[in-house]
Amino acid sequence: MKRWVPILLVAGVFLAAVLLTDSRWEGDVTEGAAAPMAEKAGVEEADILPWKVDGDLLLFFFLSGGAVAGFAAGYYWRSLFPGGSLEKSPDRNSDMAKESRDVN
Amino acid sequence: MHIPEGLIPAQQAVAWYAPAVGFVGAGLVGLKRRLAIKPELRPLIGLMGAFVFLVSLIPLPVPGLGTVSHPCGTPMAAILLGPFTGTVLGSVALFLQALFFAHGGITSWGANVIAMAVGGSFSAYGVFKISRRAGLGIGVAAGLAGLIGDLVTYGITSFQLALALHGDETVLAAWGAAFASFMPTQIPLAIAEALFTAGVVVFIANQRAELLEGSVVRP
Repeated sequence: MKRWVPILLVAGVFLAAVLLTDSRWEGDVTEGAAAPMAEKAGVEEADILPWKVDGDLLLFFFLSGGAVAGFAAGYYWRSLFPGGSLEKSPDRNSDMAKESRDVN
Repeated sequence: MHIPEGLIPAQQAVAWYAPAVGFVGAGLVGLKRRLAIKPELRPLIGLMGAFVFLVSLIPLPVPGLGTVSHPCGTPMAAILLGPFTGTVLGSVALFLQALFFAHGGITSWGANVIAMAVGGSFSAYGVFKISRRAGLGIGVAAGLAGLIGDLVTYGITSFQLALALHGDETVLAAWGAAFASFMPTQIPLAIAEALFTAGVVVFIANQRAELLEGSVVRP
């Protein structure tokens, strides 16, 4: 349970701060910085690729890319640190066993 | 820091491409040689590749400001694997992001490689090395390197934007304005990158010290 405290704390602070922000979260900071400069210089973004990735397709690509990279990171992490935290942490094992007994 | 397609004039795009290709080429040759000598580095390279791709793609919201940005990941890769390998990993991530994620661009790939892959890697590597020589611990040195590597990346991006889009202003004035507009969002993310870089570098240095022998972490 102890290991969840910092995660919940950070998530709570983060969520509260985000909810208190009056913004539509449009575009990243580079677009925010570049857009006025480009407008002033009379330059526009261009598309040179034969395909356009936007809307839900972009969302799909982001989720898929994130999932693939996450799986790859996990795979290589297990190669680097075989054994994992379950076998190394007796505290967590006993916590899980206790929770299991409580449920039953 | 992903400069979109079309904002950089063709001559400047080519000028950024030339050194970027040189750094990436040198990095690939060095990486091939290192893997032949030390194949057990493969999982760490895979992990860092996935990590750089992921963190440089994820739009992290900055509470209170309503803006999003992302860390770079290349500082950590450069500390653990060297700046040339960090450059290779960053450049591959930037290429995939330009192709499929509407993040950056093909014409601006060279400029983005110089900012995030080369700038982030080499500045972090240098800061880590100097900090260690100054007697700082691995965690503090890695944290400082993560912080500076992130900010240097955005400093270079600001310069590239200023050079391309300064209009009637001087490049220096446009650079200052662009950098200042990045800072409120980027400073919290640079601090987050510093903490995360410090944590992971210390963890790997403690758990798999033998992998880092001969690197800047364990010279």
